[in-house]
Amino acid sequence: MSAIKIHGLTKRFGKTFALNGVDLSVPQGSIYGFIGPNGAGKSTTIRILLGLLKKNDGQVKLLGSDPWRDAVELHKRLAYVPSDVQLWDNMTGGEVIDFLGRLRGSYSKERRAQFIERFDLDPAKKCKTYSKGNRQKVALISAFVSDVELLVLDEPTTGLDPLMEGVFQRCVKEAKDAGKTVFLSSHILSEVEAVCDQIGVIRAGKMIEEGSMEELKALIHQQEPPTLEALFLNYYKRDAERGA
Amino acid sequence: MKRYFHGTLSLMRLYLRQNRIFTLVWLLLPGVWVAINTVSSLVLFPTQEALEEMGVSLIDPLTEAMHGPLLDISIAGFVTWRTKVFLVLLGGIFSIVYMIRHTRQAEEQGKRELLSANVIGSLATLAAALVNMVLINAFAAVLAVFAMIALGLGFVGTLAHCLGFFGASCVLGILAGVVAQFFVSATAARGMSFGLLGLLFGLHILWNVSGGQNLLAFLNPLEWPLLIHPFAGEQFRLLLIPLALGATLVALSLWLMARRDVGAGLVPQRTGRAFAKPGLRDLSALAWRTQRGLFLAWSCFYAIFSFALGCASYLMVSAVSSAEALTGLIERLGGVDRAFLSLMLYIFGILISVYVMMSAGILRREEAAKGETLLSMPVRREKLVLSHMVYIFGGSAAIMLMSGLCVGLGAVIGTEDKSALVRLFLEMAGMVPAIWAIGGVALLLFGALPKWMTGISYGLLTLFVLMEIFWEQQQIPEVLYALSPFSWITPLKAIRPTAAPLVLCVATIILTGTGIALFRRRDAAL
Repeated sequence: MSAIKIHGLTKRFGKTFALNGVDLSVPQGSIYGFIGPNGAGKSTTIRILLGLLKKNDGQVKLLGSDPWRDAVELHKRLAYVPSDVQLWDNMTGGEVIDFLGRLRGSYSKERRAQFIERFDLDPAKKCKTYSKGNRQKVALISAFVSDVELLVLDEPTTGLDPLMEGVFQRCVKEAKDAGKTVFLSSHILSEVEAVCDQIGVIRAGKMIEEGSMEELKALIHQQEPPTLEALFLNYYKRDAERGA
Repeated sequence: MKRYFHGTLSLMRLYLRQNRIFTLVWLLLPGVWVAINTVSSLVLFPTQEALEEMGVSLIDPLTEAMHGPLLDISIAGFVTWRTKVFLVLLGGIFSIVYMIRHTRQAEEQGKRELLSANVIGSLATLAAALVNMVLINAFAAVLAVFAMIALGLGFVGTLAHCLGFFGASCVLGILAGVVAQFFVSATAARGMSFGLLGLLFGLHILWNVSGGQNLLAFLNPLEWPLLIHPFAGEQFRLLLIPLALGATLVALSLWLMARRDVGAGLVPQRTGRAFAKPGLRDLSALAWRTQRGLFLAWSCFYAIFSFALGCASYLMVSAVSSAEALTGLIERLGGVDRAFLSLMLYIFGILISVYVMMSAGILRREEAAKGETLLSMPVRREKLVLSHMVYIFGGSAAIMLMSGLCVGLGAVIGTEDKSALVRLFLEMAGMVPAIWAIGGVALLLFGALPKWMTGISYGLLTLFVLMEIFWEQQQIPEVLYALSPFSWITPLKAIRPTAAPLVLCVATIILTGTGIALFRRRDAAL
């Protein structure tokens, strides 16, 4: 059973193709790492999954429904953290977490206190005064506090310090243990290697690799040095050569 | 010096490369405006007799309230008299927007941090914005000088006129540079600057109405183009006032900036509540949080000015005896005091459309900045629009009704005419549908062309106001004028169609409905 199933997805902005036939499937209960260079189409794919953008072609199923048509119903079952979190300047972090929790409709006071503590956030500060990392924390806490089936995270750890990165990875694993599916778009390959069990690689609007971490492990061992990073640098290089 | 101002020239070039259309309009508009007025005056008053006639008819309190006394009965005298207030307001608004954009707004967006980390003096960002603002105003003034001389107006008077509005625009921009040091948010700094401009404008009208000399007037930039007496024995010494005032304010803004941290204001930030109030649970509560500042500021501003206007209207009644001309218009509007108040209410009403635009602008910014967060929540898109429509339509109506009430109360106190309250209230209420139609236009653009919404909607508003002016001078046909929502409520028409409110409301519903439908179907414009 797939939490997300995409086939032949295309999206044009004017004449340029942002997505040119993306295929991917995310098994339910997995942590899916969505990797690709800047401008590859990660955020566009995610925005289509959230019903923010309308696809031009292809099939998209999110938790069994159409993300554009059934957006409102689907959004009760997922939580999203954007890559560039913008908050309301005249509200505090605590107010934003409470407000978003109430809007989503699934939210508990105990979990709120627990996650604010773990991420070491001062909820009484105005959002205007938060650094990028702290704004990111507000969005992450709001997502983890919610009682949903799917977490969609778009480069959620840019701006977090290494300590918080560790907290984040533990939170993602706990979410999986609780039966949630996590769709994690990231640049940070060590993070992906540490938490993900499924991986998809996108480049220039197309998927160039998809599979389980186990399958990739075999490929990684052929690399020099044997890391995920070396494997992907190789992918991009090969792809660039083919393009040239 | 190097520590403070290093890199100012590079920053000036950088700023000039940005917002080029904005700068172009700012440069050309004063010259174009003066040229249009000169040409139309030449057409309207071909002979000296026609001018003399007009000079007599202009001793009416309505026009004097806006423009002050006419100093010289000639084409040049008429053009300078007619254009000066608009030119100062125009230059002032552009200068304020420019200064806030390159000071507080750049700081809010983190641009100043990026620049200051480079090899840039600590005051260079402010200095570059100030110098550019003065330079652009100077070029605009030079173009206006060329336009006026090319149309055959005398050089010395032209120079005085253009220096007058140049000095006033610069000082208003410099004032915004000072205000920007106090507030952490660009919106607050811009609001405060426009508030000050509004206050100066209010004083300008009040002094014109009460007449007589006033020493304080020498400190109000809106008075300078009159006090410099273009084409009527120019008083170039007056320019020492803007020079001294400008220099003092520049020094003050640089001194304030040197004393504070990047991103900080002079008013310290406080912490807030760690838990949201129970009421903050849906989009309408959020809309209140984002819209209330604008709504409350406009409400206070309008309440105070409307009341003052109503109170001052008795001055008009006492001026009746001196106004012999204009009888046609005055009879149509039901007496001098009524005529004055009707026209002022009409201007007040038109100005509310700026509130409507700003309120719709907040909805657009919510989508652009927080759309990813908000639209990934289980909320319908139309609910988001509806939560802001409360302020775009309800808020504007509330401000107008309150304004009508305050003018009425002021008039009752000033003139002891008890019937004024209901009459003025109903008059203001009658204008609400036209302002709503403006809101409808803004929402249609929100649905159709979100990224262009702000530019086009303000452009249309300017067009409607220009159509008003051209129609008054009988230079555009009735049919064209009817496209402007204001044409349906103008008190200058002898007969207004009784169906006007209905037509405007239907137009508003169609525009808004189309806007929402398009928003539901389009990509989120992030």
